[in-house]
Amino acid sequence: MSLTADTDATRGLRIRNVGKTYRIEGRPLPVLQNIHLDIGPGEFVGIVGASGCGKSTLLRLIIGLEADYEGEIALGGDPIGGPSRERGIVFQDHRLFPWLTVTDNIALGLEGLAAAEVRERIAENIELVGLQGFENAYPHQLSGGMAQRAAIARALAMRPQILVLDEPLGALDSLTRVRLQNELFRIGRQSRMTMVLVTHDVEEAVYRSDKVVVMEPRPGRIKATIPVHLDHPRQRGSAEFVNLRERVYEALQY
Amino acid sequence: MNVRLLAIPRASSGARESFRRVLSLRPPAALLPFLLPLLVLAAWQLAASRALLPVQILPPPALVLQTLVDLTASGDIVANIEISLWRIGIGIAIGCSFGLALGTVMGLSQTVDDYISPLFRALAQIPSLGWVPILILIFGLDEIVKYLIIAKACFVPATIAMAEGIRNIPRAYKEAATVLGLSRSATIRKLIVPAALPTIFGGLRLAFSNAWIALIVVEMLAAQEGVGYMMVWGRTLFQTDIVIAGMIVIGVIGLAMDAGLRRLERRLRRWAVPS
Repeated sequence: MSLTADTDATRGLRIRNVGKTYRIEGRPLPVLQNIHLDIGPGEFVGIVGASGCGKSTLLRLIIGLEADYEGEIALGGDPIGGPSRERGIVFQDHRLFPWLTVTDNIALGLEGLAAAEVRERIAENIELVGLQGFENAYPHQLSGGMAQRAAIARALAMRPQILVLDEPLGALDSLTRVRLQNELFRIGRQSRMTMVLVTHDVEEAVYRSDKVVVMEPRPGRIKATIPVHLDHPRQRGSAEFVNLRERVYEALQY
Repeated sequence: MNVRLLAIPRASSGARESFRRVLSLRPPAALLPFLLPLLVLAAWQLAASRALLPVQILPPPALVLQTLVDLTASGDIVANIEISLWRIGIGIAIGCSFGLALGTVMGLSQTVDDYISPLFRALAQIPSLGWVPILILIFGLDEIVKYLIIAKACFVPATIAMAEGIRNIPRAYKEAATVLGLSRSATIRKLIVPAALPTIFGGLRLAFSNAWIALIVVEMLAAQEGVGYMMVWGRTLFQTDIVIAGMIVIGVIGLAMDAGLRRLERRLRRWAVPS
């Protein structure tokens, strides 16, 4: 617990001067440089950028999957030193264990909780993502969209403070994608969960986010952070919306 | 005229059609596995009845069957099978449990693998039977020699399969386990064992078939009882029917064990995509 005042800046995610370098055949390859980012509790942040700009690496750092980096990342004032159930991730591929049912996959992240609590959280999250009736299905029996829903339920059931989403809907057809995006967004707003979404879809990023982070590649840096102060539900055709969307597109050109 | 010209090709295409139908006539799937053995049996019978080889070398199937019945009635074959099964059971139990344990450690820890791997690989290159002379020098013709030879024959494939199975678990799943905060024991139960299962079973089946080879050869070299010994005994008596009876017994029991392993694997992998 931090002793400083309980402001958004201390309760949220603080990323300060973060850099990450991979070594390829002995030669250093910087993938992230100079990343500064503050994400307040309950905030929805969209990250857009060309491939190779280090978006996914940044998420992996936040989650604690990459140990070796420069700079400082802290959640609620506590520096991040490894993975924790406070921080959940939905990967691009669902990564459900094929030998476990939907229920057992969700239960993976609930180890150590009382049995009644586990049952309750599983039921609650299966309902939340609309997978009732598929509790005992194996991943190969689900469609791509359903598997991704199960993966989202698995991440949500841990009740993390922050959920990062690495293009989780990129591989889905556009109809399913839009529907799942809406649901995710609704869940985020209802639970006041902090969410960081990496996406290729600029329009969606502007439509959902409280701020859009534009990254540029080689090495991955933040090019612009564009706040979106529009009320929900947003009008995609409104002048302000179009204007903001153009600003993001402009920032993406280099 | 016209009619006849048209009739000829129609008739021949009809013939082709019925020919095709004969070709596509397949026996029911349940009978397919017996087709080849029956063919071999028929060829054997033919070769024996034409006396292509002397009867001492190639006895007719009926004689072998009679020998099997006689050996069963006298209890000889049952006693020998019991002894062989006991040996192979103990050998497999020792070899596979040590192999799976060592494979687990080698698969989980790169450091352990670095220490053990070179020696293990060198020893694995020596065929199981290469150990027979030195083991006989140490233990004489004691049962322990048979156990050790069979154990060694299983140990190598079991170890390799277990280590490979663990090492080849996709990183994506390992990361998922990390992110979900799985404890060490849950990681083993929920990730490592199920993910490595197909490789492990491949290794076990290889181990079982290696065990049979080792059993029979070691019984031929250094035993006074067992199916392998029975076959050597048959050969020295020039009674090839006993040798072939022994081969049939080994084949049937080996097949049953392999089927048992497959069944167990299917049961453990009920989740798998039906192919």
